[in-house]
Amino acid sequence: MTSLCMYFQVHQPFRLRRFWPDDRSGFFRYFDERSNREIFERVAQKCYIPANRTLLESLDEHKGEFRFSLSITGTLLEQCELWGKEVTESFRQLAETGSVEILEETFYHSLSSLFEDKTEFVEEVKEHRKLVSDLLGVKPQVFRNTELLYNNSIAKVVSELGYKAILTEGADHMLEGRSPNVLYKAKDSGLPILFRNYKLSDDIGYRFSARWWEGYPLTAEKWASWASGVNEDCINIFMDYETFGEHQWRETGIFDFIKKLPAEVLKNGLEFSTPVELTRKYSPVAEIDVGDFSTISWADMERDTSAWLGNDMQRRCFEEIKLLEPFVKKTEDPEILRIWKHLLTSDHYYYMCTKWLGDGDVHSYFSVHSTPFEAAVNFMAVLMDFKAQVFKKISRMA
Amino acid sequence: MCLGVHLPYSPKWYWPSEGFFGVPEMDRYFDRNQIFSRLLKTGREFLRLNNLFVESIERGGSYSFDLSGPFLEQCRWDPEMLESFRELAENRRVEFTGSCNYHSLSALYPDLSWFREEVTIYREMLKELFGIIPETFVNTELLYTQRVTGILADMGFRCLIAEGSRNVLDGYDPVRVFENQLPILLRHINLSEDLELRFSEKSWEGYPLIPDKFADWISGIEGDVLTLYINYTSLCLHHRNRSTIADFIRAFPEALKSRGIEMIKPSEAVRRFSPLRLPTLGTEQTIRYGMHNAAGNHAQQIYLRELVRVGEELAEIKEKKNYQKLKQIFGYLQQSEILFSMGPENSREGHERAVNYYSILSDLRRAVLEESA
Repeated sequence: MTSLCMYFQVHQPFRLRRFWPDDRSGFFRYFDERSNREIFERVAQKCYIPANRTLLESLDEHKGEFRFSLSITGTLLEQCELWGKEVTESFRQLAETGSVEILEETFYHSLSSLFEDKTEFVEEVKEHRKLVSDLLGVKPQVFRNTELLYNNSIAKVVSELGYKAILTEGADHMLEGRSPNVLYKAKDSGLPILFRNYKLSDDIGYRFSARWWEGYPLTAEKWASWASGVNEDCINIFMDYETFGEHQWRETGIFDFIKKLPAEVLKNGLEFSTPVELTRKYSPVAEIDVGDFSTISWADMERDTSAWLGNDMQRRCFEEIKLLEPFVKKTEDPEILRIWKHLLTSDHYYYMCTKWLGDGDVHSYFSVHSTPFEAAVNFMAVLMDFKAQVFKKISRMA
Repeated sequence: MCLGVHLPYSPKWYWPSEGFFGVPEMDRYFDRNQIFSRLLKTGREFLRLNNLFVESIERGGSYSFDLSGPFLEQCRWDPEMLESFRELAENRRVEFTGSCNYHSLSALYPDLSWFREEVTIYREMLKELFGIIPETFVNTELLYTQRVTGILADMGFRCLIAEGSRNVLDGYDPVRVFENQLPILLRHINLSEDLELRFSEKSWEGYPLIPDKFADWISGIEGDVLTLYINYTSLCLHHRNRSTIADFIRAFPEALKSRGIEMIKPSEAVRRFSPLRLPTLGTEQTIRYGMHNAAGNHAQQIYLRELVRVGEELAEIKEKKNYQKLKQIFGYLQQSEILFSMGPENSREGHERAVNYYSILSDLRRAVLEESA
């Protein structure tokens, strides 16, 4: 029986404010308290609360048969704790059903996996592990990296940390005609890999309400019949959780779709499985080799690192942040450390992306900057100020 | 007529991994090979202009020269250039003016001690290279702010040349010697720009501009003295466009003379004509038409603000070993071109440059803070 493995990504970054060196201090000298709160509250109302409710009802209705997984970033859980404890509570309810697998990732939805030295990356994974254990009472067993960034070295570190599998994008240029609907294993570490079926995932995530699309309007019945046509081990459907109610508004019928989906899927002879269950059911069929310089991700058409590190400004900003690491750590100042870690969040770099064609609208989504150029200058302005804070602190320590 | 001679000492595309350690040398942020090769190229055009002005002086002309600090620093690499300006300096119909050594906008900083320092550094260099003590001051970009007029008067300057902005002229024509703590000559924008910008423009109604025509326009204006300020680089541009600018420069003094107009130096102008008090010169506002190009957007304001902070931190480490070295780099990071090139708003290159300049400035600030330990 083919398994349908659904995973939803739940994330909000702490966006920067339009920086001016005034007398504010601490975390909110750089991060925008008001706009982050407003966006969080809006998304909570439009997506997290109703989507959690809908899914909880479906879990109840198809007890044990409907299963899926969530990956929730530390930055989002921090925001829930600050501005909407009831949202944390409803995620906790989902986790308690036993049918929802919570995945591991970095606390900060960060790009630290791209550092040559993986110390910070490991630290952030552990921070996430602790937070998820504290707030949701679970211990994740499967890893999904920021934006599904993947290469052999990342897989190796994740494997050494004891995770049972890793999720990534079923990028064509890497699969080279092979199917994403079976398990593979990583070169060297042998860690099982789950590849996203981007065609069936994007049918819901991106094309659901696209009138130009031949599949429009998409019904649960139609989608389930497409999925049942896959006669392989598993179909990995990965997408942003914000698809429900935010990327696809309530008016598009997305909640109705997800409500009806479990029954339709089961009716078509598929079964729901979570990532860790897949690793128990199936064995990897082949090895996958992704070198550090061919890192893949689920972003844009390129499915590489170019959404965050594609232009000169992005690379400069990332380089500055990376080089600052030993100095930040030297301060041992929890507030400085916290700010630095939040500056590693991938979204900051995404806002600076200049690959306008096709993907530009996704990049500007949720950005508080009017252009990627302003986003870059603003980030560097923050960095310049923050860097001085770090070196001031070190000078005083000397 | 004042001639601005300036070549910026441009920062390079710096990469952050070049920094984060030790006391930086100039080469960390500036590509001197590139700066030098530009000097070689542009320098030849400057020399040709110098020779033209020597000819023009022989035919009755008189000029003042505003040589920028970064340009003079580059001239040290080129003895021929230095010698050519030395000859001009020795001519009694030529006056060299004082300026802010690093071609900065330090007249806008909250604390003016850096401004004062820059003016002093420049004055010492002029003395060292040409044996001259300037009497007239030209601020970077002809910026006028009444905050510095008193300082300049105290430092012994007897004349200031500034932009003849409409807001400061308040309906007057810039054809007098004005005064606010010291005598001020205001640039005639339109006539200056006729030479600077429009000279080679075939679609311009004034084209072709010949000395007689231009002298007619000037003689049609009633007043004591009219001040023109023109950049060397724009004259070079006309020259490259095969225009008649060389003939114009040679024949201009005679065309003026035949209409009873005399070319004089700024210091002569303020001695000869009694000044007119212009209340608007006492304004709190800063005046330079087009100032928003230097400080109009977020990127520029952040950079300016950061300069001020680094300046404050630098003032704390005057006793430290590497102070002089850090101070010199700090000076060059204040060149107005750096600010200008972060504009205009919404240009792609401007923002990319800003990211680079921030990176540079933050590494210098790191070094300053480490020095303070």
